[in-house]
Amino acid sequence: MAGHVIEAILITDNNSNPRFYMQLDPRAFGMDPILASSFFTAIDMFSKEVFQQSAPVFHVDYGAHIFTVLNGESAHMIAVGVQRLNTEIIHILDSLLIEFEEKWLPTTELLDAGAPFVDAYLEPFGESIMMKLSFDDLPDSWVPYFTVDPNAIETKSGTLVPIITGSRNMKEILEVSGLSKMDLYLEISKLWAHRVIRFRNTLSFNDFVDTRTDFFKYVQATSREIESLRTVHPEMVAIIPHLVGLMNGRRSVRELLMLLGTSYDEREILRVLDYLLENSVVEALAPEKRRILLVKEVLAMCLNIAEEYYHRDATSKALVSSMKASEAPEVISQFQFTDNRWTVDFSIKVLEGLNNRRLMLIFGEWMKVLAQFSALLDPSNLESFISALTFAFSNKIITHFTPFDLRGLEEFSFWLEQLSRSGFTQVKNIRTGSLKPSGENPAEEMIFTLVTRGQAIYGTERITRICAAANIPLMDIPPDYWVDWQKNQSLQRLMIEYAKIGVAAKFTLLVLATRLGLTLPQSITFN
Amino acid sequence: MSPTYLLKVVTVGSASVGKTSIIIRYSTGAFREHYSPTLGTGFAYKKLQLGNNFINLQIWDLGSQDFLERVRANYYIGTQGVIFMYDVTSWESFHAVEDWKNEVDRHVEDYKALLVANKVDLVDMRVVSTEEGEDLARQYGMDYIEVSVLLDSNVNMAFEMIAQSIGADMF
Repeated sequence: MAGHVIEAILITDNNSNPRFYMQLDPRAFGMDPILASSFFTAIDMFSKEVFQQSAPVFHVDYGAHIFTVLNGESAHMIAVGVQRLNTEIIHILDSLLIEFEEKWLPTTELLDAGAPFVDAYLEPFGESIMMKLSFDDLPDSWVPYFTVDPNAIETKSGTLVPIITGSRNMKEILEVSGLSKMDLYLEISKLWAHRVIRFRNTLSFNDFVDTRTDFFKYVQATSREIESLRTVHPEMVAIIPHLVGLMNGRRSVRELLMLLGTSYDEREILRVLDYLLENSVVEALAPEKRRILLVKEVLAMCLNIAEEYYHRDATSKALVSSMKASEAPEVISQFQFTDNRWTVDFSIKVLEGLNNRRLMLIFGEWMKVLAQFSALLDPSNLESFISALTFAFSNKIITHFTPFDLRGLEEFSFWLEQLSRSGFTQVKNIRTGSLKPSGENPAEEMIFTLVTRGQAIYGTERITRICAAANIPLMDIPPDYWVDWQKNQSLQRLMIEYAKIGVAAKFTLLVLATRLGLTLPQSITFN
Repeated sequence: MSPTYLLKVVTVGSASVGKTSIIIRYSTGAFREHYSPTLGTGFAYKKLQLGNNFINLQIWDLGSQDFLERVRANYYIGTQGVIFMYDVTSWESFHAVEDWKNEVDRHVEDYKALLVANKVDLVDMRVVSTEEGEDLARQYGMDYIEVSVLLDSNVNMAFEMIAQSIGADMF
C-alpha cells in the first residue's frame, strides 16, 4: 500500500477506446464525469501523438490537473491528479497496467457507442487497485454510507458492514471496529472498489463554497426540491435560507461554520452543505476557480487600499481604464458601482459551465486588470500603497488560501517591483552561472527566480552585489562546490538582502516563499 | 577546447500562445500546468552543443500585453534571435505576428527569426493551416516550425533551429 495523490485512473486500448475508469479520490470535485470526459476528449484528440511518444511514462498537463500517462504493449494508463507522481507510485501503476493487459483486457468488452465511459469498470480490478493504492488518509470527520442495501453486499469486510451506519464518522468507526488504522483503510478501500459506499462530510474547512444557479429551488417553499427535502431531512429546510445569505463566493467552510455555528450545530450545517453539494446546487471551488477568487480578492484589496492613499475619483478612473482594456465579459461584468465606489462581485455563477482553458484565460484577464490598475495609480504614493497591500496580504490572504492557489501571482509582485523603479534598466545578458531554472528543490527555484527576475528588473550589477553578499556563485561550478546546506544558507541571506531593495521586493518574497513552502527570515516583517 | 557562445533569444507573440510554456518545457522538461500572463520579462537558459561549439542559450520571455511595450523595449538590446509565436487555434494571434515583427524591427537591427506555430495538438480547433504559416514565414524571411508544447513535440528542434541560424554567421 502506498500514499498517493491520484484522483482517477483511466485505461484505454491502442485504439483509444476506454476500457477501465475508476475514481480514487472521493473528494475530486467535478472529476466524474465533467473533468474525466473533457480529459478523455482531449486525450482522444491527440492520442496518436501521445501514444507514439518513445518515453514509457510522461506527463501531460491539463489546466490544474496533471495526467501521468503510462504506455503499455496493448493498453495505456492515465492517472489524473494535481501533483507529479513519485517513482514508487509509477512502479505500482506500471504493475497494475501489466495486470490489466494480461488478465483483464482480453475479457473486457468494448463499450457501446455513446455509453458514458465511466461505465467502464471491473470490480475485481478495482479491488486490485485499491489493495495497492488504498486510501492512506481518510479524515476523521468523513462519514461513509452505503449506496446499496448493506445486507446484499458480498464482501469479506463483513465485520465492518454493520458498523457503517451512515452517521458514524471515520474516527468513531475506528474506535468501534477495533481495527488498526491501516486495516480499516484497507477494508474501506475494498468497499470503495466495489462502489457500494460513498462519503458525506467531505468538505474541508478550507474549501470555498458558493451556490449555483439552480440553488434558488432550495429557497422556494413550494418547490419540488423543498417538498422532497421536508420529507427526508426536515431539519435542513430551516437551515438553508440562513446559509444562503452567507455564501458569497469568498467564504470558506470554516467561516460559514463560525458565522452560523452559534445558531445551529456544526455537524448539522456540514450535513446541509454535503446534501447541497451532492445535489450539485452548491459548489466547492476547484483549483482554477480558487486562483480566480484569489486574484479577485487581491484586486478588491487594492481598491480598498487605493482609496486610503488616493482620491476616490482617481481610483475609480484607474479602474475604469483598466476595465476598458479587458475584452472578457466574465471579468468586466463582475464590477459593480454602488455608493459612488467600485466593488468586486464574488459570485461564481458567471463561471458555470466554462472549461479549464477558458478559466485559465479569465484568470489571466483578472491579472491584467490588476496590473493595469496599479500601473495607473500615481507613482508618488506607490510605496505606501504597496506597503499597505503587503501587510493586508500577509494578514488576510496567506491564511485564507493554500500555497497551491498562489501559482502565478508572483507575476503581479514582480510587476509592482517594476513599477517601483524610477526608470527602466536596459539588460543585455543575465548572469546565471550554474543556477538551475527550476526543479524539485524549492530553495533552488527561489534562488533562480529571484536572481534572474531581479536582474531583469534592477540590472545585473545590483543583483550581482546581492549574490556576492549571499555567497551565490554566478559562475559555472562543479556540482559538489555548492551543496544543499550552503544553498539554504545562501537563500536566507539572499532573502534578507533582496528585502532591502524595497517594499515591492518584500511582497515578492512573501508570495514566492509562501508558494514554495519556504520560511522567510524573521527579520523580514510587513508592519 | 571550443569556445562557449552566449546567444540571446527573445520570444514574442500574442497573449496565451504559449511563450512561457515553451521556454519552461525547453529549459526544464516540464510543462507548466497553469496559465499566468507574464508581467515584465521571464528568463531561462539552456546549455547545448552544436557540432563542436558549446552554446549558452539565454531565452527571454517578453510579456505580451499592450501596456508592456515600454517595458519590453528595454530587453531587446543585444538580441540575436527572435522566436515569433502564434497559436494555430487563434486567427488573432496569427495576424498579430505582423505587429510583433514591426515592434521587433523598431528595436533590433539585425536578427535571425523563427516562426513557431504552437498548439498543433488541438487538431479539431485548428484554424491556421500549415500552408498559411509557411507562407507567412516565407514572406518575412523566417524559418518555420510547428510545435506542441503540451506534447513536447518539436520543442527542442525549434530552439536548435534558432541557435543554428544565429550560429551560421558566428561559428
